[in-house]
Formats: sequence, C-alpha cells, structure tokens
Amino acid sequence: MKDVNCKNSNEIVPYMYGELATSAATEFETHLLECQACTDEFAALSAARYEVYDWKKLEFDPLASPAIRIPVGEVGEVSWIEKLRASFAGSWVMPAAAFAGLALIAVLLAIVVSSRNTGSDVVQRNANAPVNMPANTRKADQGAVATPTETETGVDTSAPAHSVPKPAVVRDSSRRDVRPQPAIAPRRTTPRSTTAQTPTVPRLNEFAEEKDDSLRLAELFEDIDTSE
Amino acid sequence: MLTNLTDERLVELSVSSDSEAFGEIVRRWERKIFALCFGMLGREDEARDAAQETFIAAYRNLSNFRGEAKVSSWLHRIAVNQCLTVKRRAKTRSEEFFDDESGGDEKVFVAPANRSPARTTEQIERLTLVRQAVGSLPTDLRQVVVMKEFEEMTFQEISDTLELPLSTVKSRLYTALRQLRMKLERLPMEIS
Repeated sequence: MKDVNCKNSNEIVPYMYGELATSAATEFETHLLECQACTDEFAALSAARYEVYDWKKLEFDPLASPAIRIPVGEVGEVSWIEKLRASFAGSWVMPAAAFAGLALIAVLLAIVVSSRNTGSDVVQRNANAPVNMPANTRKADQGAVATPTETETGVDTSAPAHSVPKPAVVRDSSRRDVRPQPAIAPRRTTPRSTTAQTPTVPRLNEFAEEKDDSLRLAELFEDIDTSE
Repeated sequence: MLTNLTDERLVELSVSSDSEAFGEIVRRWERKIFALCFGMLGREDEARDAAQETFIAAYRNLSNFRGEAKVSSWLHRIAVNQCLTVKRRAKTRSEEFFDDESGGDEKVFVAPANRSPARTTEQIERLTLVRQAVGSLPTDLRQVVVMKEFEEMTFQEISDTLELPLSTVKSRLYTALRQLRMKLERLPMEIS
C-alpha cells in the first residue's frame, strides 16, 4: 500500500464508520468519484475492516457474556478512612458540621494554653536568665572582669598601666545586662588572681580597633569616677 | 433505582460497601469488557478469565478510584493491563512447550475450541489469520481497533475513554487498518 497524498484521505475512516456529518459525507462521496487514490485506499481499509467485523460476528457475537463473580466477602476490604470519605461524599452538611466542631475545639485549646502561659511567664524568664548569657561576655569575664566592685566602678587597679584594654572594654550592652547577676561573680575571682600573678596579655587585645568604641566611653566613666 | 445512577456515583456507593452498586457496574460493562478482552486476546477462554480478573481488580481497587478519570477509562485501563498480563503468561507457558523458533505472539492467537463444525476449512483459516493479524498489532493500535469493532464505540467515546485527542484516535485506527490490510494481503500466500 502506498501513502495517499490527498488532503481528504483523513476523511476516509470517519466516512467508513458513518461518523461524518451529512454535508461532509456528501462532499466526500463527490471527492471519491474524482480521486482514485482515495477510492483505492477506501477499498483497502474497508476490506481490512470487514475481516475484523467478520471475525467478531462469527466468533464473538454467539458467545454468552461471562458470569462475573465478585467474592465480596473475601476481597474489597474497605478501610475505615474510605468509609468515612464515602459517608461524607453525598452531602456538605456533615463535613461542615465536622469542620465547625474542630474549629471550636481549636479555639478552646488556644484559650486554655494562653491563660496558662500568662501566669508562668515571669518565673520562667528569671529561671532562664543565667543560661542565656552571651558566650563572648562569659569569655571576657574570665580574663579581665574581676569583682563586683570593679564591675560597678570600671576600674582595675591590678592591671598594668600600659595595658590598653581595661576591664571596661568588655562592658558593652550585653554585659550591662548580666552585671547584676551574682551567680557569675565567684567564677570570675579565680581567673583574676591568675591574671594578677602572671602578667599575660588579656585576650581582649585581639579585638579589632573598630570594635573599641566603648573604650573611650569607659575611659570617660573612669574619669568621672576618679574626679568624684 | 441503581440503573439511573451514573457510573461515578455507583463507584462511590460501592466504596461504602454497597455490593449491589458494584453489581450494577458489572452488568453495565461486562459485555464491553469481554469484547475488549476477546479482541485483544483472540481466545474465548482467556478473554473470560481476563474479564473476570478485570472486575475483581476493579473491586479490590475501588478505594484508589479518585474520580479524576471516567469509570469507563478506569475499567478499560485495568482490562488492557489484564490482557497484557494474560498474554505474557500464555507466552511464557507456550515457550515451555514449543521451540522458540517461530513467532511468539502468533502462538497465543489459536483457533477457539468451540468453533462451529459447519464452518469451512477456508473460513477457519481466514479467521485464524485475522486473529493473528490483529494480535500482532502494537497494543495502542489494537486497542483502538477492538474498541471500535468489538465494543462498537464512537470515535468520541474512544477519545474520552482513552483520554486522547479525537484526531489521534482516528489516525490510530487508520494506521491499524492499513497495517491489517498489509498483513492480510501477505498471509494467505504463507498458508497456501
């Protein structure tokens, strides 16, 4: 069979099965009378179709339909979620009621939880305070900050005179938050004595100059304290 | 009462353990699915088994039917899968008994056992050739031929069922019939 080079050849199959509209079928019949290629193709396809049709008529049509047996009790176990989904499938009332109930429960839970949190909030914050101390402040305290007295005045009498970083260097905003906490003070005493015996340079020297804005401020405080 | 419901509603009822609803689906589709299986497999006994397995598989997978496709599409897809499974199984079986030298697919398409004795030898040979020719078509082409000739569906129904464009369905049938014609022109010389 050769390929049919006719733009109407795609009408052959719908025409053969009677699925062209009446006007289109009439037009195609007129075309068939003029186009030998389409006529030959139509004949060949019709012959193939007839063979299949004949096969079906002779062998399939006389057959009775099979007796389909579905073992309902053995197969098709439906899960509870599917049953639930099926029960909601018919109407919108049940899903709406269920949603409203869930929303009400959620609101009540939110109210209960928020009322409990309000009472315990302050106690919880105080209990957590030492734990929340910033790490850099702790590290600085070990090397330079000594006693609660110094913390208040900002003067370290044991530090060498030429030592640029005074204890007040680390007294930035975060340190100011931790200052009143007595739990830290005992840990500071030991490193301070070590610092006094061995004149090692505090690690605070490692800070870059641009981070030393508080240095001048601390010196100002020192001046004020001295003048007083 | 159930006869007035759509296929999709019947599936919903079947999911909620209404076996009568699924029975109605079976009654509606058993002949068409049997025809599809017969056209795809070419043997009555295998077609009956495939149809039976199709509905059992559909029943087992009712919960997986989400309603995105039509029930007819869903059943056809299951049926075609069952037919392919049966063919593979039959091919494996036949390979256990026959030499592997002749064509594999053609072994499956043998003449049915209950053929009428009134048929002439020539007619029987002709039908055997047609079965072989249809059976050797690619699955997508064969499916369209069977749906058109055995299930007597319109192009639009096939398009909806297979979820394919109408033009694709027509061109597949056109290609399938052309291939069948070529096979049927060639085969008579081989048997004579």
